[in-house]
Amino acid sequence: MAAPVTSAEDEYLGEHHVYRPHRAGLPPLGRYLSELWRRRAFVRELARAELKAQNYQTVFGQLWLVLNPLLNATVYFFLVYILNGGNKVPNYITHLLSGIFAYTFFQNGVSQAAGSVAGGGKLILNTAFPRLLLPLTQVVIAFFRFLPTLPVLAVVIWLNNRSNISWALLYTIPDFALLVLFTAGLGFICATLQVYNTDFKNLLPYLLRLGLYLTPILWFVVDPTTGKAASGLRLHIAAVNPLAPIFEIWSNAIVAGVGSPVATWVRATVYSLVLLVVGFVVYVSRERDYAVRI
Amino acid sequence: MPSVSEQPSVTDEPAAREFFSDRPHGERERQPERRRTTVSVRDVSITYRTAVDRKANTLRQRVLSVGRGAESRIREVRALRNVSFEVTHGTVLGIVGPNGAGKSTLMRALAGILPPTSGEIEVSGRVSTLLALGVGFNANLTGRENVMLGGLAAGLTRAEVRERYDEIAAFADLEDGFMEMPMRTYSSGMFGRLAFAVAVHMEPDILLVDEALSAGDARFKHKAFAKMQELMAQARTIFLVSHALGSVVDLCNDAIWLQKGELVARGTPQEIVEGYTESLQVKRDAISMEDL
Repeated sequence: MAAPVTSAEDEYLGEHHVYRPHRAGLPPLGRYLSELWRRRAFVRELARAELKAQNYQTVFGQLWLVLNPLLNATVYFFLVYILNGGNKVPNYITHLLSGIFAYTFFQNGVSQAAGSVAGGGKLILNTAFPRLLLPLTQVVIAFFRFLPTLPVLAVVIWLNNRSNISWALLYTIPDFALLVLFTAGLGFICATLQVYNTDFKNLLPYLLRLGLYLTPILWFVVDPTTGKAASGLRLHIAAVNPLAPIFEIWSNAIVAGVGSPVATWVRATVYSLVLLVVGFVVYVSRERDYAVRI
Repeated sequence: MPSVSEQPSVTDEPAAREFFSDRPHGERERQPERRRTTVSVRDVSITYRTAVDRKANTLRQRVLSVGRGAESRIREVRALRNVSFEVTHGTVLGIVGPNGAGKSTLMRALAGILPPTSGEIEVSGRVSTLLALGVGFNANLTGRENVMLGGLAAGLTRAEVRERYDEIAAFADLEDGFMEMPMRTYSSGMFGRLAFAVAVHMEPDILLVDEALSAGDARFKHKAFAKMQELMAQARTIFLVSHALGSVVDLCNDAIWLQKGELVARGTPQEIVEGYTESLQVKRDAISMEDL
């Protein structure tokens, strides 16, 4: 039953609205984006509310945010250490920990964004606003949940890699920005998938765990201790996984204190932007169907 | 194609539409002329397609049904069927009808939440909804914080909400100190009062109210009633869905009656409510006859 597709004018903005049949199709982008920007205070407030509900303001709440990835990292460390019997410390610890922290942000962001629409029932059914605000809020929340891990990371770098600290550490900032875009893009796609497939949320944790193993977090692309580059399967995975370049740059800057090849930056940027745009289009073109679906 | 019937038609409609689309955005001058059309619903139908099998919307089901080619059974619910009507500025329109008549669907369509399956809805003015109490509220936040959240959800800016805060708090009239308490400590009546207060202070041109007047105690109801009348006096347009037929007669100056998604009649609240209760009476008699 294909409804005629016409784009509605000023869906959310302004004082005059015309609602026509539509199921898919993009609203006027300029208006949509400016309305999104106009509602940024709502994102902040919603994020603050949810963080408060998660005890973000309390000491123990923050401690948990650090403890959780820390325990994860410990498990992986022993796993890899025992399986490899290697003498990888201390570079490996820094690499693993910084990678796990960043990946925890990515994982939280994507999985929370995925559930934001299906879980936003009441709000979606009773208020008109650009639906993109919901997954965006979750990415913002994931970012705030990432922040308390930074001091821990700083201590670990100071203890393990003091000699490698350099200006290259600043590369982590644009690199993390790319990770945010990547997370948002993938979050938009997953949110859409979850609206149409209610059991997607059961599959997602497995995909995200798989993503962890396929990303150079437990392993190096180039081991700074030995200078040896990954070979065989790992090399192929690093070349194919769109998330890999971001984590390569991340590790290079933090562990070795060096910049990364331009090609790696280009790949990281292109992948992030493409994913963001695709995610945006997929999500926004479908978002007016969400109220019907949930 | 469109069955434009069942309602007093407005002949100068194209001219009116032109006038509106020329109006610059953001400029909210209030024209004294009360006759202009604010909401125009043209031949609108809304059909929900729900899968009979609850598991149809799952990956598992999709994977399992690959190759079998069996399309899962879909039930179509025609929530609204070719509804057309127009509402002029300053109207307080009561909407009556039994459960499942499409009243809430119509409200959501007017708010732009549900897209019509066919037809067209044109709305001029800022819309505020009171479709369910305390939407966008978070029970872990204080009343004060929720006023901000609710206002932002409705599309106001921070400054605009702050401007209205005192008025909202005064209107909700909660016991001392409750505005600074988490809303999970509120009674449901207090929750409803604050939600109502937020919704009516958004200064909407069009207010959509779904069964919300039942919030609060007798004193608050009286206040809510007075506020609605104040909004009416300011020539705002209000849509009121209610099963409390008395309040429809008291508050509204126009009414429609929906049944099974169709617009049965439009008229004065008195007429509509009478017709509607009559139909209920007939049905009730039929059932009681059956019981015998």
